[in-house]
Amino acid sequence: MRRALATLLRLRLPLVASLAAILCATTMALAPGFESLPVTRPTGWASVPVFSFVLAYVVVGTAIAGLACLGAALYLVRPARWLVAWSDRSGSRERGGLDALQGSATTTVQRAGAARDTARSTLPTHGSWERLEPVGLASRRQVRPFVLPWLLGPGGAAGNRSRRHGAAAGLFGLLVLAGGLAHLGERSGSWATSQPVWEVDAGTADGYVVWLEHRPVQADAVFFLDDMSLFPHGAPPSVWRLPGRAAYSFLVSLRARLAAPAGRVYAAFVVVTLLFWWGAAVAVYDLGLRAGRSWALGVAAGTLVASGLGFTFMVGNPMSNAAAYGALPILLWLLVRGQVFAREAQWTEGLLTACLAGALSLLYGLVPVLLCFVGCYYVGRGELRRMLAWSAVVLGVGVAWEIVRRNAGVMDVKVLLGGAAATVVVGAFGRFRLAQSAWPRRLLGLPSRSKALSGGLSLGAGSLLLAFAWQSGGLVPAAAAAGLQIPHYLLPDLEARASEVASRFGGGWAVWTEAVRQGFFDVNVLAAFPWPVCVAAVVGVARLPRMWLEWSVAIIVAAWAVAFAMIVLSSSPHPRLVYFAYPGVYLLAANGLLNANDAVRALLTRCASRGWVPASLAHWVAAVVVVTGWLAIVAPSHASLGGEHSFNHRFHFGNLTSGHAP
Amino acid sequence: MTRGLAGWLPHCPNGSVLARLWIRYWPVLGLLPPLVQGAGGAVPTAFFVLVLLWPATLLVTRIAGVPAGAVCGGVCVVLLAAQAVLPPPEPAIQPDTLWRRFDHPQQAARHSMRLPVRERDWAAMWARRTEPEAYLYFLLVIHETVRDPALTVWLNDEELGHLSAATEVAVAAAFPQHWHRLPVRRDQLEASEVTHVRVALRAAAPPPAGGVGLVGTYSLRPTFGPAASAFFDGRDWSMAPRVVLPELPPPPNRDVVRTLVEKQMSAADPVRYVIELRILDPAAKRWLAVYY
Repeated sequence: MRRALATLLRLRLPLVASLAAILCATTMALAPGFESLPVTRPTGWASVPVFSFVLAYVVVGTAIAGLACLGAALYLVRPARWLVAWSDRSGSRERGGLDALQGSATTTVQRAGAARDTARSTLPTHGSWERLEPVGLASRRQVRPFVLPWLLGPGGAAGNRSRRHGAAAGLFGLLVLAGGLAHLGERSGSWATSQPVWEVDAGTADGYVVWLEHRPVQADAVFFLDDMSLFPHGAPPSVWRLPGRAAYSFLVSLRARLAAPAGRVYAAFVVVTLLFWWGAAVAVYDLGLRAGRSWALGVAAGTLVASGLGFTFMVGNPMSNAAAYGALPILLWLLVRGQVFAREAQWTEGLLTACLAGALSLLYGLVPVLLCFVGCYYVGRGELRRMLAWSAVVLGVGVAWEIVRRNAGVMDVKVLLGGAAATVVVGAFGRFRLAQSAWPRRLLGLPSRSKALSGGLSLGAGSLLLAFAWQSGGLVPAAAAAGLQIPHYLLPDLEARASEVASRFGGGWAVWTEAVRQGFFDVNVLAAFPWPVCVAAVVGVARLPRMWLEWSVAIIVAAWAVAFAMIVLSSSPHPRLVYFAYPGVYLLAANGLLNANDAVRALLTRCASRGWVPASLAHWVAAVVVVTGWLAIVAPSHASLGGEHSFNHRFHFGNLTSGHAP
Repeated sequence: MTRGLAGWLPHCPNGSVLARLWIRYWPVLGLLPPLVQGAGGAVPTAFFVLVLLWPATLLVTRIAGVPAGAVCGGVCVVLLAAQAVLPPPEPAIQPDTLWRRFDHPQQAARHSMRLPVRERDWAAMWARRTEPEAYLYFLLVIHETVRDPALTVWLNDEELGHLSAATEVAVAAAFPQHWHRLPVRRDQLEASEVTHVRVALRAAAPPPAGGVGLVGTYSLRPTFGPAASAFFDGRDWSMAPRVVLPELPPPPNRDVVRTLVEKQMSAADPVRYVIELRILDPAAKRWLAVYY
């Protein structure tokens, strides 16, 4: 079973590609309009291979997850080995339970990965830029503080690296600030695209608008303005306008109190958004730095994020979309750098990361994307029990928020605090006493005061949730929906929608794929990532370490699978959900730019060696190619400043029709 | 005691014991003001402090060291304390939908536009292969019992037409608002530098029972200038915002906005009636230009 899992993990991408090719070929053979491909390309032809790949990845990923769970279950029925594994933390060779299957598979993959990485480290990386030392498979304890060294780095090579990090962060800050300021107010894409374009469009000449401090913003922003005013004193449940995005209103409310005396509430929204945007650029920079072991790749990826279409579109709008875009790569970075699913990881860090993920998911509903990504990428690479616990905490935060929101202002806070404190104390004491006994210690792990405290907190939190749920009666379905962050407008007739979708699928594969072909790629994917980005991303698949290629594909598939589900259930395009794949897409696109640079340089260097062209030409031409490619990728983000709003229109609605109703 | 307490703290090679204690327990201090002030209503704030700010501070400590974590905790405490000390923010929201009903047969409303009739883009727009069509759009508020708004429109003192059930456009609008439009010729628009559009009850008849009027809104970039709209009360024309759009309740589905608008609306804010000139490409059914 371990060998089968390790093999599946190693061959995942080739297997997915093969399955996707079969699906694609079958679809094109059955669907009308593809007879003369590629001479004549029917509308939306690219949807078929993209959708086939996403579907194949989901199927293979589900199979891997099922195999992992089956293996864990099989080991669980052998209690002797399982108990031995739980009691022996000193690295014994005896393995069992959930650890064994994941551990051995992880070890196999890690050894293979280490061998490949070692081989790659001897090959020239992108251009002549600095080659960093291999990150390797450092355990959690080697997560070094890398913020302060950027500012106060030592001299020598380490100092140069620190200064490069600082320069990169400064560059991203400048790009974010310039891009943000350039797209505020009337230049906001999300407002400008709400203005009437077609004869049937509703709304005045100023579009779907609310006027905030004499600036036009999209009218949906009024929900966040109202929710912001509910902090810190809360309100009855019925007053919350967008409870699923309350984290943004909370963060803005912290800032708004300082900005309000100057009459700049709009500035509070913008500051929060810009901070998340900058954080995303820095996170993707660090991920790119580790992916290609190249400062150039990190900078290229970071600058693409700092000029991203989704950010420039939403930054001028006091809504949580841009902040959610920024939060996603920060969470991904924490998972990568913290290695929270590794065997050596501390449970505390996993708990903290999960809490933060659950809380930041309350910016825009990131839970489905995060859980899909963890399932796609980390199954087989980390401990299953840690993933399950992490996922449970992430879901639990959303459920807890729903329960807290519905009961805030109803329960007496003194009773609440007193009950919580008593529960924590009793739980901590009980956990501590339990851990001191020999037999429970074998089951529950090493005793320590910190574990007792954390165990007590967990018991306390769990007791509170149960108390709220008991008091609230039929809250469980709503809380479950809150945990998964299903949009409220889908809930009333979710079952009917799902049935209607299933009935469409019953029409056969050709009928189903025909519907997908019409709308998926052109209307959604291309709207979020225009052609230059897609081309660069495809080119970037080559020469990226396998681990990072899988990482990029996993985040892309996770985001597009969730977006596809929303598109199908809501019967409307969602390019703004498809855009959540941008960490993977921009990493691939940045690698594509550097691949192009390397290819051009290699070609011209060979020509120069034969005397056909001057030797210095290679560097200059390669640089021009990179800069041109970068400008082509970034241009759609700022095209609206020159009067070209088609990219923003597509990003907003999936096509050039606004069709917006007030 | 310090050594004993240190055992409870995460292993951090740098930073004093006090800093580490501060990182671990700052939420206790930070949550006191809102909980004391807001009682049960502060629980949402406490929730986000415990699941968002506190874990973020602890993670910052793990990543960037104890000093960074302590600073992060301090910033959070300051922001939370500011919520308790400073007055709540009241965002200045300008009116986006207000109504001006005709209460008297002699009343009239006017909106002026300065169209770019001398500019090259204007000429190029009208020189297209398919000649554009121009319409004056009016957003009216009509009581549900009224079938015919019975309004007359003048363009530069020349009667343009009547707004009736026949001029209503099938474009979505929040009830009880309705879009109406009248066609306009190019020569009518180019007749003068400034285009005045006047709306009044037909033949000075009494207003229909239940009321009919114009919708108004904040004026962002009026072509004529800030005082683009005016109202005639039977004696004088006035461009004062509170005469053009007196405080009337907006549509009932915007109750919260109504509260904010009533608190924040300033007499100095420029306002306008929703009377717009729209130039249409009839082949593509797409607006070439919109002016107000």
